[in-house]
Amino acid sequence: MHKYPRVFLTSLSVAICTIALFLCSCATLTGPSFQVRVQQLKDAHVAFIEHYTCVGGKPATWDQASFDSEVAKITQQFTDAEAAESKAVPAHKTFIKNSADLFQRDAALVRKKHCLSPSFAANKKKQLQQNYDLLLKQTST
Amino acid sequence: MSKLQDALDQIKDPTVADAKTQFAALIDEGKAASEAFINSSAEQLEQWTIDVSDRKMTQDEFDNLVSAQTILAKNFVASQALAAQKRAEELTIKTAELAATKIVPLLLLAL
Repeated sequence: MHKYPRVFLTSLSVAICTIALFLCSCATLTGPSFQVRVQQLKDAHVAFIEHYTCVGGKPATWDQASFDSEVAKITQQFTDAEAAESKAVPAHKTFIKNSADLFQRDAALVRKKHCLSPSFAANKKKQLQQNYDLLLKQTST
Repeated sequence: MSKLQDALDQIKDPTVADAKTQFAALIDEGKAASEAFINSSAEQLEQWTIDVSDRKMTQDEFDNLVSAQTILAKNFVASQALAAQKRAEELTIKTAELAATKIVPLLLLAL
C-alpha cells in the first residue's frame, strides 16, 4: 500500500488535469480541422455565387470595389486554408488548390458578366456540393 | 421523348448526327452508372445542355461549368482503380468535351 494515499491521489488528479488542459490548448492552437476548413470554404464559395445571381433577370448595381474586396477576402481564405494543411497529406493541399482555381474561374465570370443567371447559379451550387462533398466523404472514411 | 432529345433535335446539321447519338448514349450510360460521381456528372451535363437549349444559360456559363467539371473529374478518375479509369474518363471528361466542342456550339447556332 502507498504510504500517503490521499497525497498520491491528489497528485495524480493534478497530473491528469494538466495533461487534459494541455491537450485542449493544443487543439485550440492548431485551429479548426480540415473538415471545418473545407466547410468554411464551401460556405464562402456558395455565398459568393448567391450574392452575384441576377435578380429578376437584371444585375444588381455593380460595385467594382466591393466585388474586388469580396474576391480578395475569399482568395485569402483559400490561401490560409492551403497554408494550414500539413505536407503529410498532399491530396488535401491539391484539393484546396483545385477549389481555389474553381473559385477564381467563377470570380472571372462574374467580373465579365456582373451577374449570373439563376439557372447557372443553381447548376453551380450543385457542382460545388459535388466537389466539396466528394472530399469530405473521402476524408471521413 | 426526353428533354435532352428535344434539345438535340434542334441541331439539324447532318455532320454532327453521330456526335448527337454518341452524346445521348454516353449520358444514358453515365446516368445508369453505379458510381455516384459519374451518375451525378451525367445528370448535371444533361441539365446544362437542356438549360442552354431553353436559353436559360449562356455559352460562357456552360463553358465555366464544363471546365470546372473537368477539374473535378480528373481528380475522380485519378482516384479510381487503373482498370476503371478509361471508362470513368469516357463517361465524365470525354462526354463533357463532346458537349462543349460539338453539341452546344451548334445548339446555340440552331436557336
